Parts: sequence; C-alpha cells; structure tokens
Amino acid sequence: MGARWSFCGGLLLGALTTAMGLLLAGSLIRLAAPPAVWRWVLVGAMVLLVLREFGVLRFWLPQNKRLVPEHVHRHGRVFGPLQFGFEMGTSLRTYTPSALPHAAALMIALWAGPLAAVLAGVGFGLGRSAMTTGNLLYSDDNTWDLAFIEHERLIRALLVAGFAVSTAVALVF
Amino acid sequence: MRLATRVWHPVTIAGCLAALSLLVPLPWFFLGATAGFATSGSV
Repeated sequence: MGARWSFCGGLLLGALTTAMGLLLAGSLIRLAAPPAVWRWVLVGAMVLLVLREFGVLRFWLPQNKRLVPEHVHRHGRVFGPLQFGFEMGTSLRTYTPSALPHAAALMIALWAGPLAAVLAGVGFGLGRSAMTTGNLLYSDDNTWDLAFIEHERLIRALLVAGFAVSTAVALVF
Repeated sequence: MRLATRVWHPVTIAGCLAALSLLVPLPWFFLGATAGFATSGSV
C-alpha cells in the first residue's frame, strides 16, 4: 500500500515539475507573437495531434524511449517508488504511446496561466495514477492491460473527446 | 463479473474522464487527466 501511494505521489510531483518547466519555457516563447496567433497555432496543432491519435496521420513526436531503471528500488519501499513515479510523471524518461501528452504540453507552454498549469499538472499526475490504481484494483494478474488493448480504440476515442472539450473550453475562456 | 473489475475497467475510467470533462468546469484539470491516462496501454 505504501509503495503504491509513494509511486502515485511521485507521478504527481513529476507531472507538476514538467508543467512548471513548460510554463517557464513557454512564457518566453509566447513573447514572439500575440495570443491570437498562439490560439490558432494551438488549434492547428490539436487537429494534427488528434488525427495522429487515430492513426489518420503518421509523424514523429519527441519522446525519450527509455524506461526508468530498476536500480531506483534500492532507495527503499518509499523513496524508490517515489523516484520511479517522479521520473515517469515528468514524462521525460518513458515511452509515450499517445499524442495527447504532447498536446497538453503545448497547451501549457503556449496558453496556460500559473494556476491552469498547476491544475493540468495535477490532472496529468492523477490520470497516470489511475492507470496504476486501476491495474492493481482490477485484478492480480495484469489482465487490466489486456482489457486496455482489447478496447484501445474506444478508450482513445473517449479520451480524445474529453481532451477536445477541455481544450476548447480552455482556449475560449 | 466482480464490482471492482467493472469499476476499474479501463473503459470505465476513460468514460468517467470523458463525462466529467463535459460536466465539471475544470478544463485544465481534465485536459491533464485525459492526457495522463492516455499514456496507458501499448507503445
């Protein structure tokens, strides 16, 4: 139980760290153009990324295709999972099978204020935690992953729908 | 099917996130949450 909570806490902290980094870097990039320009850049980017999510378009997206090494567990039952979760939560040391994290990163960098960036970071961390929590509470034999793969298209459609609504509201208000 | 198997099924989680995105006025939170959960699954 303790390991799971510290792992999820690490995911949350990692996601918040990335969100703050994106906000900082984005605040400099935003100086290059007025907000109206960034809004349309984001709309265009969201359309492209959603099309990629459904396999309509294929293009490269940056990702660090490395897993967090096993040796982080030497830090013990609390700090090992915490570091593991933190590194995964930053999304800087993991595989990314979806384009939505990239879309969220662009939104934070080019559109979010400080509070919005914190909310997006917390949401991202909890969204990732839902995978771990769901997997553990669903069954003891990793069949959650099989269920995900079996219904992947429906799951992606639901997530894109939720993401698209949230993005549209964030861009308009 | 056990209740936990239904509740924590990946489709249920994704469906709840999508529904809450429509119903709860916290767009930035759900933007992050849907993106975070989308990192599940196969590479």
